[in-house]
Amino acid sequence: MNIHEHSMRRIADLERVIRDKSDTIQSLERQVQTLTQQVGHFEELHRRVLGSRSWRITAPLRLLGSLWHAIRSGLARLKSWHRGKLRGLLVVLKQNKTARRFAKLVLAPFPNLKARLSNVGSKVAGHSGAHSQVGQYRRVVVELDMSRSAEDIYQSLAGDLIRK
Amino acid sequence: MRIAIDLQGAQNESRFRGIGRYTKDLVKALLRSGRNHEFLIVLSGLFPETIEPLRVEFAGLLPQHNIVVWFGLGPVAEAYKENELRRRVSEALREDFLRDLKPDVVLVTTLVEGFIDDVVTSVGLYQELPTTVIFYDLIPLLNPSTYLYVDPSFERHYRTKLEHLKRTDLLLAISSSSAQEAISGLGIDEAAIGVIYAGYNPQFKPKSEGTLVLDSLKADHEIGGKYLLYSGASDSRKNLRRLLKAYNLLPPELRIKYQLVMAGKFHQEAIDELKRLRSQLNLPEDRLILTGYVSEAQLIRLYQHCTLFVFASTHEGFGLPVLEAMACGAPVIASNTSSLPEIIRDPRALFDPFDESSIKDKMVEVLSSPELRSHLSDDGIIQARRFTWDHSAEIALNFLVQHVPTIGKHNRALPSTPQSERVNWLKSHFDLRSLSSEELKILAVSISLNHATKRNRPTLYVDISELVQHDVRTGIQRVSRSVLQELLASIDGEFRVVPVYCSLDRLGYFVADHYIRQNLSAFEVDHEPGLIEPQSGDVILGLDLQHFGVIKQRAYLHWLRLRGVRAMYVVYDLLPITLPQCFFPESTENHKNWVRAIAEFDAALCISRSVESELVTWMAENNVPKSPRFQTRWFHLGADIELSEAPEESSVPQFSLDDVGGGRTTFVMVSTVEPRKGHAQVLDAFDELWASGFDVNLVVVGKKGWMVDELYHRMKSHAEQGHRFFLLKNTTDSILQNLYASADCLIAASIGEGFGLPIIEAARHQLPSIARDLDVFREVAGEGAFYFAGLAGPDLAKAVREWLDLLSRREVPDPKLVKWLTWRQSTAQLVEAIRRNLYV
Repeated sequence: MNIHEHSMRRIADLERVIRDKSDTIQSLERQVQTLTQQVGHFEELHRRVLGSRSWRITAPLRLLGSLWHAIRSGLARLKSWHRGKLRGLLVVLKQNKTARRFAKLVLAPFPNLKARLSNVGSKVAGHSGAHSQVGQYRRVVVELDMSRSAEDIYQSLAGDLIRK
Repeated sequence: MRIAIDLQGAQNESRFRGIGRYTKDLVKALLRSGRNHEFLIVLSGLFPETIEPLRVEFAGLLPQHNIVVWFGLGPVAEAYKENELRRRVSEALREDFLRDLKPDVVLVTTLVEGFIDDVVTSVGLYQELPTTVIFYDLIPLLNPSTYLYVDPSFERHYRTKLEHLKRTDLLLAISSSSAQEAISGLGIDEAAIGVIYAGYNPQFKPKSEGTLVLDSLKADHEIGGKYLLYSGASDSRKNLRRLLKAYNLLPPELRIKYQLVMAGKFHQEAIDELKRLRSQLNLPEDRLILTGYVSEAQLIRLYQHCTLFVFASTHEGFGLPVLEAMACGAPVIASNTSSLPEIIRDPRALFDPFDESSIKDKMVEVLSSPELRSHLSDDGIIQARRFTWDHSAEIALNFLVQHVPTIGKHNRALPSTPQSERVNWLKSHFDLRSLSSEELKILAVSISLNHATKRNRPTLYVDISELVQHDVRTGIQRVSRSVLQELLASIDGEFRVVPVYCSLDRLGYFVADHYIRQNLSAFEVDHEPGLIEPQSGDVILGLDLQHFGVIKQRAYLHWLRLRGVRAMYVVYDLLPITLPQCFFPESTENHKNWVRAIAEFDAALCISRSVESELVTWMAENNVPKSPRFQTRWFHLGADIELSEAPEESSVPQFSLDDVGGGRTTFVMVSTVEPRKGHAQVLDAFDELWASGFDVNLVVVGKKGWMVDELYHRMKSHAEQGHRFFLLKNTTDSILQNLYASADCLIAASIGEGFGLPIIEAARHQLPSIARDLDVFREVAGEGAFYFAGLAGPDLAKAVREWLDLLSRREVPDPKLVKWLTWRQSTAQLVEAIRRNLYV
C-alpha cells in the first residue's frame, strides 16, 4: 500500500470516526430537544394544575419535584458524555486538515457543542504533540528484504501465530 | 561511569518547548563537563526526522558511534487504545536495548510523555536498569481538575507514569520546590533526589550601550512607551487574569504611564478571555498588548527594555522566564510560591499570586521607587549568574557519581541475551496474534537491528553497480576498477572493504559476489553473500556513477543514515549540467536529480578542486537543499593504468605504432567520441595540417559515444584512415599503455572535463600534451602542458604548428612538471577525505 493509499484510508477512517461522533451528538441534541419539550409540557401542566383548586396547594410541589428530576437526569446524561472521550478525536482534528474541515461542516448546526469541543480541544493542545511521521521509513522496512537474522526472528515470531 | 541518556525529551513535540530546550542544554553541558565519563545518547527510531538534526547538534561533543538508535513498533501513543500492544512491546524493546548497552545508569530526560506522541518510556517493567529521571514537576497531579479530570485516559496514562517514576532509583529535580513535590506527592526518599536547577542561554544578557532601541519592535506591537512585561505560556496556572486585574487596580497615573505587555504564543481561547476581561474592566485597548510569538532575539530586547517584569504564576517547576529576565537586567517581581523564591531569593521581590491586591501593591512599590528597581535589576543579574548549565551538569554528575554505586543494579557483567531467548520471551509475555504480518516483520527487523552483533571495525561498502551490471569500460569505470582494487589491496585494518551493487527493482545493496569471483579473486574479500546490513560507522561509497540507483535507494539510504551509516559519492564532473548542449536533455536532468539526491547525504568527493568548485557554485545558485552534514571534498585520480586493466578481450585487434606509424610524429587523442571532447576541431586541424604538408599521424582512441553520428562517419571514412589517421574504437589498457609510450604528443581538446586523466597518464609516460586552456587542466597539469585556446580547427592547427616548432627546439613543456599520483596515492587521498567526513 503506498503512502497515498494509506493516507486516503486514514482519512476515510477519520471521517467514519467523526460521523460516529456526529451521530452521538445528534442523538444528544435530540434528547435535549425532548427534554426541552418535556419542560414546556410540564410548565403547561403546571399552569393547569395551578388553575385547579384541589391541586393548588399540593400539586405544584410534586410537579416541581418531577420537573427538577427530569432536568437533572437530562443534564447528568449530557455530563456523562465525558469530555475526555473526545480527546483522541480532537487530536486527530488538530493534526488533520481534511478531518478538521469535515468536522466544521458536521458541527455547524451545533454551535454550543462546537464551543465545548473547542474548549476541550484547547486543553488537548496544551499537552499534545504531533504524531511522528514514520511512514517513509516504515515503507522501507516493509519493502526491504529481511536480513538472515531478521528472517530467523520473523519465522520464530510468526511460526505459531495466527496472523491477520 | 557509562551514562546512557535517553534523549526522547528532545525528539517529541517537547523539543519546541521548555523540556526540549532543557534537555538539550543540560545534556550538552553534561557532555562538556563529564570528560571522565562515557556517554551514550540513545535516540528513538520512532522519531526519524529528529535523528539527523540531533546527530549534527551533538557532533563534536561525543563520537558519532556513541549516538545509538533503537527501533520500536509504532505507533504507540497511549491516547489510542489500538496502540496498547505496540506500546507495551516497544517498552520491552527499549528496556532490552538499554540493557544491552550495559550502562551504569540510564538518564531519562522525559518520563511522563507518550500520551499523544510516540515517546516510549518505562522504568523497571522488564529489566533491572539503574535509572535516573529529570523531574520537572507534578503540576497535573496537584491541579487535577485542570489537567486530569478532563480526561480519564490521560489521567490513567499520567498516573501510570508516576508509578514508573516511583520505581526510579534517582531523581534529578529542577528545583528544590519540585524535589519537595516528589517527596510529598510521590513519597520518594529525599536522599534519592538531587536538585540540579537549570541554566539560561548566555545570549540573555543586560543591554549594552550599543544595544538597538526597540523602535521597530515597539511599532510592530504598538508599544507606545514604557511597559510592564510578562512572558511565557497562557495556561491557567500562569494566572494571567489575576495579573490583568492587578494591573487594573494600579493608580491611573501608573496605568497611563505603563502598558502591560504579555509576550508569547497564547492559545486563542486565552487571548479571547484576556480581551474580554480587559473590556469588562473598561481598560483602554492599548493598555494590554498581546504580542503573540516573539523570537528569542526579540524576547531578549523586550526583557532588556521593560520597566518591570511581573511573573504571577501560581505553580512552576522552575520558572525559566524569571531567570532569563533577571539575566537581561530587568527588575523582576514574582509569586512567592513553588520554585520562584529559589530563583529570585529577595523577599522584597515576591508577592502572593492569589491576591490581586498583593500583586498590585508590589507593582506600585517597585514602579514608585527607582532605587528599588535599580537594586532588583543589579541583584537579579548577580543572582542569575548562579544558574548556568555547566553548574547544573556538575551538580548532576557529582550526584550520580555519589549515588549510582549505591543502587546495586549494575549489569555490566550480565551476558547478552541470545536472540532466540529474546524472541521466546516476547512471545510468552505478549499476545502477538493481533499483530499483522507487516507489523511482525517490523518487529523482527527492529529486534535484529537493536541487537546486531557489533563488528570490530567499520565497513566501506563500495557501490560498483554500473561496473557489475554493464561494464562499458568508460573512463569512470577505469577509475572505479583502479580505486576498488587499491582499496582492497591497501587499506590496512581501518575498514573492511566490500564491493556491493544495487538494482532498480528492489531496495537495498547486495554483495557483488559474481563480480568478486570473476574479477577480484586475487583479493581477500571478507563478506557474506546477499543483502548487506550496514551498522553505525559504516560507509556506503558511491564509486561508480549510476544515476538511477541512488535515486531508487534514496529512502533506504536515509533509513541507513538514521542508524549512523554514512553515504558518500564520488563526483566525476558536472558536465551534463554545465555543458547541456553536449548531452541528451534527459542526461542533464538525470544528473541534476542525482546531484540533488546526493546532497541529501553526507559527502561529495570530487575528483578535482575544479569539480568541487563547480558543484558548490551550482548548488548555491540553484538552492539545492542539503543535509546539515553534507560536505564537499576533493582528491586527485591516479595514473598507473596497469592496475585498472580491464580483462583482455581477444577480439580487440592489436595496434602498434612501430608497425603503422611510418616514423612520423604521432599525436594521440584518448577519449570517448562525444561532442564535448573536441574531436571535430582536432580533425579539422589535422585536415588543415595534412593539406599544408605536415606529415604527422593522428591516433584517436575511443568508442563512439552519443550525438556524433555524422562525425563518426566522417572519421571512419576519412581519406587518411589507416594511413596517417587511425581510429581505435576498441582497445585494451595494455594497447593504450604502449601507445602512450610510443606516441609524441597527447591532444586534450575537450571543452569540459572533471579531471583530465589522459594528460596525467601521458605525463607518466613522459608524453607531452597539448591541452585546451581549462581550469581543470591547469589544476592537474600545471606548467607541464602546452595550452591552446579557440574552438575552430585553425586555432588548434596553429597551436600544433607552434608546438612542433618548440619540439624542434626541444622547448616543449616538460611532462615531468605534471605531478601525478599512483592509484595507491589517489586512493589514500580518497580514504582520507572519507575519514575526515566521518569525524565531522
